[in-house]
Amino acid sequence: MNMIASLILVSGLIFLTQLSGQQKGALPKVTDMVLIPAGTYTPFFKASNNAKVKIEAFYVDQYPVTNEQFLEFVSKNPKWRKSKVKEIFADSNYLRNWKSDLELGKQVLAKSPVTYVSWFAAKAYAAWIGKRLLTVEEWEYIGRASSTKTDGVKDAAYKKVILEWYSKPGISELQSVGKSIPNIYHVYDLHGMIWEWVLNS
Amino acid sequence: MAAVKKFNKIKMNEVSTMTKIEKEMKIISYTSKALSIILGMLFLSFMLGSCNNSADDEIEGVEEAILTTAPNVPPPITRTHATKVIVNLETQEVVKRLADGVEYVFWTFGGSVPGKFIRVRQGDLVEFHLHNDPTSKMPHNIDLHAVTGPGGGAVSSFTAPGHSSTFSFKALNPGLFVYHCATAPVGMHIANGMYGLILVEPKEGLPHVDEEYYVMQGEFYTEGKYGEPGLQPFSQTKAIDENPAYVVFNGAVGALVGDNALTAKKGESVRLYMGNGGPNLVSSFHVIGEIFNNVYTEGGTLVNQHNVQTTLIPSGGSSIVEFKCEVPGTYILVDHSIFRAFNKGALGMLKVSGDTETEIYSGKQKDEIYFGSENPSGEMLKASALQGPSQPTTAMTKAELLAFGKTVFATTCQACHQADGKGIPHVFPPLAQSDYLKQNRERALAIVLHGLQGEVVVNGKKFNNVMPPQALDDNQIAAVLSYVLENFGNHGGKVTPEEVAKIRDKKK
Repeated sequence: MNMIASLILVSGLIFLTQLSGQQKGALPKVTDMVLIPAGTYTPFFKASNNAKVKIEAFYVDQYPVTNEQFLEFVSKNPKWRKSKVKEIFADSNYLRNWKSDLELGKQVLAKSPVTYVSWFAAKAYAAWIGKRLLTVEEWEYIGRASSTKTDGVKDAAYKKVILEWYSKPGISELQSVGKSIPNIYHVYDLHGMIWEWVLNS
Repeated sequence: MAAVKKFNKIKMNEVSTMTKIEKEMKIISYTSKALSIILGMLFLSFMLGSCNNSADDEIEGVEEAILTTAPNVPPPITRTHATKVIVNLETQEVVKRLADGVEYVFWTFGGSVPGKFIRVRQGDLVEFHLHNDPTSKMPHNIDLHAVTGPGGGAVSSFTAPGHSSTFSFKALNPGLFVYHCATAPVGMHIANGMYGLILVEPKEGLPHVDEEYYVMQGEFYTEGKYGEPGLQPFSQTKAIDENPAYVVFNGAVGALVGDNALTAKKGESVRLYMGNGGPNLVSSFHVIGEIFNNVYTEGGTLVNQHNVQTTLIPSGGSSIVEFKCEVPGTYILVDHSIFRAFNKGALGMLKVSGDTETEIYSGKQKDEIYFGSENPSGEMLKASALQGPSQPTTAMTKAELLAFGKTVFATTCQACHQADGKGIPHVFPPLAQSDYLKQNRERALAIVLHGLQGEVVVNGKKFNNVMPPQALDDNQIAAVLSYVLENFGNHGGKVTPEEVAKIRDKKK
């Protein structure tokens, strides 16, 4: 039971967006990012004046952050290890599916999304790698895109795929990232995996 | 510890979709709850006048609520004072049986549908702990219709997977209340089984009964048709069309039949706490062969009707019904919107044991044939349109006669004796290669004319059934019997209308 729980819990993967104007030279290797063009959309939870949300262009990771990537982060930042993290920044569930501070263990796939991460830890990871978390508006902007349309909200087939995911029982292991059908921007795993942290509320 | 809790809250707020859902919920719940508060106040002032103010009750002691899985109900409350009642309820998303060979991902309060039954006393302070299983895909919350307060607890209990929420409420109004998940999309959460009942017993308690049971109706919208095997996904289209594949009691087809039937003994009084989770349909709840002595309509505290056959239970509502089991036997619980009962699963059983009770109900005293009010002696009826027009057979060629006979056979005989004349084993005797037919041709004619009842042996096999006299005229009988004798491996022969007339007269 614990094993199953550990892999599917909330506080899931992180998508990062490129910080503009930062010292890019100091960044760790930046790969697998795509450019999202600027645009507007009407959010699912509409504002009282029905206003559209305007989004500036941004770069976003194509894949959620993996266990492997996060392991590198905690190995270079000891204060974010399971045994060292301050109680105020992560609760007792923090990385609970990992075997130890620097070992994933046999049950945890290196390439599956890192889970059991607190928001503070997610934010710290992003800063370390020279990026930031997506805002909720940015997330929704790319999350509503289907594989063929930037506005997938009116796409019945796309909605069906998302609803059907909820009709399936929870799985014991999250699959590796990048195995789903990407959306029109070539971003993977926005749906059908796990909850994702965003920057703002 | 307090610091940690506060911290959790901050974290939750970071997930903006959650907070937006909460806001949305708040608006809905304020409106609906305001209405129910007004109605509640009207009810209190008109009906009760001198009602005690439960809000002022002093809380003595603490206890953990006993929660039960349907059809069981926690024991009556014997306390005479208000107390603090702690309720621990866990939301779980589980795969379970919906019907034989059919599975469904149920979203539940406590692992099964309906959710656990909660029983408290009017004036109690309920400290509610909602836990969301870490394996859940969805956040969940709970709106208890027994709560006086915004959202019925929904906003305060919004809980992400792997988290717990706590809130408290005072059970001001007695009655039988539905609770359900109210997280967006609300309809889907309820359609997947997230509902149950909470009973707030009035201070004076409820009258004693011998048996109490918990039954809750709900409908399920699967992609596949009723009975289509496998793990069935939820169909949003069918839910919006209010066209369920299943309407069931206690979460599955057959949850209350056979070994799982409700039970009582002759002479006992039974109280059913009936809920309807919906999400869409209103139930016409009926127990076949029982009359409800008392009905607390819509789950209120007033027995406002006696001697009720069928009671309406709104979606998101309840009813308490009481009756006495005078006569032993099996009683069928149905939604009397009757196709739901026999074609969609809304059928349960109450088995009453005990000695037979013929004073009130005799059981079957006689079983005999009825030939219709205009034909009490079983004489030939006029050939009906069903048998087709008759024709004189005397001038027919053999081929014409057999063709006519075949038509009569198809419309009159074939339904039981089958197209190949072989009948149905144990039920309808064969006409094909029939020794019975061969032994006595006149007897065969007489059976078509006058019918046959009781045991016969055909080709060594016993049959005991009823064949009514056939509404055929002499020409039709002559043709059909000629057809039978000339076919199905029988020995052959021709029957004339005169021969038929002779036997008809003989009987007279």
